[in-house]
Amino acid sequence: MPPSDRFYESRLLRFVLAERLAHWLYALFFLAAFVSGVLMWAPATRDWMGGARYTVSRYHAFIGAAMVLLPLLVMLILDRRRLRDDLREVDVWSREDRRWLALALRGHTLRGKTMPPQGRLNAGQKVNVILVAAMAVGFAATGGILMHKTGLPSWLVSRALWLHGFLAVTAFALFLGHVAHVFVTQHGRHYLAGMVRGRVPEWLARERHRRWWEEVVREEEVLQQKAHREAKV
Amino acid sequence: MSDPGDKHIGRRAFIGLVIAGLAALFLGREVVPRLSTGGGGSSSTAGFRINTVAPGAVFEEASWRLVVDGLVRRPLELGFAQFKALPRSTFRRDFLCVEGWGVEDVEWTGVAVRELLKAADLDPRADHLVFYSSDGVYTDSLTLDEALRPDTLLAYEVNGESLPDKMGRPLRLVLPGSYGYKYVKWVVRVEAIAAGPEGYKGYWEKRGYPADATI
Repeated sequence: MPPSDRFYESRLLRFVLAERLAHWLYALFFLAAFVSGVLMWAPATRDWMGGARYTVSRYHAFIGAAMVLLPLLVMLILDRRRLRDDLREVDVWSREDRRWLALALRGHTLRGKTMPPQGRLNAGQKVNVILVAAMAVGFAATGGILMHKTGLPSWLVSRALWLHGFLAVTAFALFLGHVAHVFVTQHGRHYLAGMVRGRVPEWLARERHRRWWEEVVREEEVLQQKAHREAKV
Repeated sequence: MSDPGDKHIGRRAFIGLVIAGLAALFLGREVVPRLSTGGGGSSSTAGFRINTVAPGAVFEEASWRLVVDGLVRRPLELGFAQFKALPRSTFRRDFLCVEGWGVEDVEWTGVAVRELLKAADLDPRADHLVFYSSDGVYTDSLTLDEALRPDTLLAYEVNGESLPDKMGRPLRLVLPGSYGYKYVKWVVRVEAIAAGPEGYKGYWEKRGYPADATI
């Protein structure tokens, strides 16, 4: 039986408010940190920025701290349970996740081939979360060393500077890939809408995140059966 | 709900990446300098980006002079050979720039500023030293405390070679523990002044940088 019109209009909640807020805060502060970092670092800015470059370097530290801490605080304050679920979801990889990643690395997603069924986050999105989280720790550690460098061994400060820059370049490359995915790929705009309004089309969930879609449908059936039983009583 | 095929890969990958980062921080000593210095430049300039606000005068030993004046009892005007005859000091220190880049373990050789002050017999009223570049534009100052540190140098060699022209030949101020904008290039004059708590504003300080460039 072909899906009804209702199926194509139906949307499933993929990201709760706390997740969306944490995501956009991280994105906003990452961009601000990256731009301020480039302004501090690029020799071309020396003449036209003058002393303002020193001020930028001071703000950069606070922007970086906000980038790491605010999203975490938002999740902890608004939806701690969801944070725990998210962490578990990113941690646990099914056979399908591993197979999905192996196939994606061979270019199957780019060629539009059928991929193994995925949960709410596919394996690529899980890799993205792991990389962003590890880099946030890296930014916090190296940024902390650079903020409190007086009295620390100079080799450590010097190395922290190098690693901080390396992380910034890597994170920016990841960011560009992330943005390209949204604007270039077939369903990118639906994923973007999911991160803005929280919901994605049900057909997309069934096609790309079948395991999650099945879970949601099963939960809905259980709820409907429960409501039905209560109505009978 | 857990499945027999499920694996805790996420946490392992995260911990692995964090450990790799820490390893780079603590064990990457041999790798990092090579990466950060690239391959360009001579052995003495490798890793240094050359930032100047104006070109300094080309060094000619016969005509070059270093003037030490202001609040000193014995003003000096030294030729390069006379300057090099003062007690020589060598230190290895990391160099850091406010731009975020740095060069590890740079060997600086020169004359400690305090040796120069001893020769010029500093007036006790002096509380700052102003260093003038031959470019006619760049100046910066040190407090007396900074100037008297044993590793505050007027360096004429870097990494065992004469300072290259673009790094300030023949003399460059070296103030370990401070950002590079204190490292005045092409120094031709040192003036002792009584600036009081206001201090003296050099080229970048006039544009908003703090006089205390401590890292």
